[in-house]
Amino acid sequence: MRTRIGFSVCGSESNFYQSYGIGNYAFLGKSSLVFSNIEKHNVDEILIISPRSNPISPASNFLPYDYKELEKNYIGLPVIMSGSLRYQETFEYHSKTGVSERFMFSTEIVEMNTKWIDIYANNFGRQSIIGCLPLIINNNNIAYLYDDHKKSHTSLTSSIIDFAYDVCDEVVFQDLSNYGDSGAFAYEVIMPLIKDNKRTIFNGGCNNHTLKLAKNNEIAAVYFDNLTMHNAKLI
Amino acid sequence: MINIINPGCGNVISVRNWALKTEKKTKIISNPEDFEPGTIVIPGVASSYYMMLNLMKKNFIELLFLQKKSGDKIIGICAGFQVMGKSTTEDDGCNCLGFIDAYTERLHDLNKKNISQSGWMDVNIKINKESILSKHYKRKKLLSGEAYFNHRYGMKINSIKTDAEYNFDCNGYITHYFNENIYGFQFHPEKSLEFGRSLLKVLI
Repeated sequence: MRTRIGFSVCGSESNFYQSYGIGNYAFLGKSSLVFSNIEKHNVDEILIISPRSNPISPASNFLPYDYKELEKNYIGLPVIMSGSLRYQETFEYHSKTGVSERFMFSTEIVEMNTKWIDIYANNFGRQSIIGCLPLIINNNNIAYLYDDHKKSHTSLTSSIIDFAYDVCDEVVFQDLSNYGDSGAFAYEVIMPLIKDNKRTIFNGGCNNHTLKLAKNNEIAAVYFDNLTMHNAKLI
Repeated sequence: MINIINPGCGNVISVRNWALKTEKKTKIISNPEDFEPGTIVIPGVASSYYMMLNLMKKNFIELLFLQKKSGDKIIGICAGFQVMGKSTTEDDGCNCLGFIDAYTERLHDLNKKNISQSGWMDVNIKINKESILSKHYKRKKLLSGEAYFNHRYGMKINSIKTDAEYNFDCNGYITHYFNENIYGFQFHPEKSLEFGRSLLKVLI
């Protein structure tokens, strides 16, 4: 299968924002407007991060995304939800309605805790589960895992990477250090950490060059979190 | 009427929003009493085992057998397609509806390595004169396009009815299967952009 192109946005109430550097966000517009235009960008899927429990927008005033937006709008491509998944009311909402195709877990991977992953997998199938490894990369090009609950980084061990591939259908290597930048994804650092290229997704500072590298290495998908989509036509 | 079963799992609203593009009356049914004569859709995004379990718990089985007998359409998508086969080995494994002489197993490639298929693949659906699709697509001989797949389990056929329409992926798993009033898609037409919209007529 070809490398997919994903569009990663932060959802707050009924609006979408996209990063241009960690903690910095551009207002993209009402999510309904984005949905009606998204097919023009030739993307394959959209990742919506509701910010209640994710490390990307720690200082923001974002509010949880209004899921009703997904009920109201036809979206002709797959929707992946992330953030707030470990709340009972979020799970119940998704079970009762069915507005998305996949779910991305981050904290559960960092904590190596399968509780909510298994609950979602039982309900929506294991194929719907995406794991996320949020990475901080230091000046010596060593990748650490960012623990949002502790607001600190911990060692990235091979057992955590194995765990992610074991319990999830696909694994996102999310370069938090370069999140929102265009063309800064730490490919050289991250590539040796990957266990299965065909089940791996790049996110965090990706650009067209990252996409080319991903295609050459049969990486499953690249999610653009930055403004690349708005500046260049992707081939 | 297009009746979309809500089994308590799956992407029910996504399917509903796709079906609404037909401009036909569409309703989500959470129990058999809500059914109105017309098409039934069983959505996907679920384990086929839990999908089957939920259909049983919510007493949908009798309705589905009556629908099969009536000749009105039943459309299954992904896990909703897989439960129309004879059995599944997903999770605890179980017998399924048996509308299609096929079984669902863990996906593996030709080297027997377990795989997962998440992404876009070209799908070709033939439309010949005898085809059950020919009444929907009078001027087309082939429906082709990229379709969105997301599955770790897939259906393998036991025996094919000669008048059935079907195709396989490169590992021998069924991509779609149409016979009499049974329409099954392993891929997600509701999430397959333009190609998915071109399949909307199947619902009507």
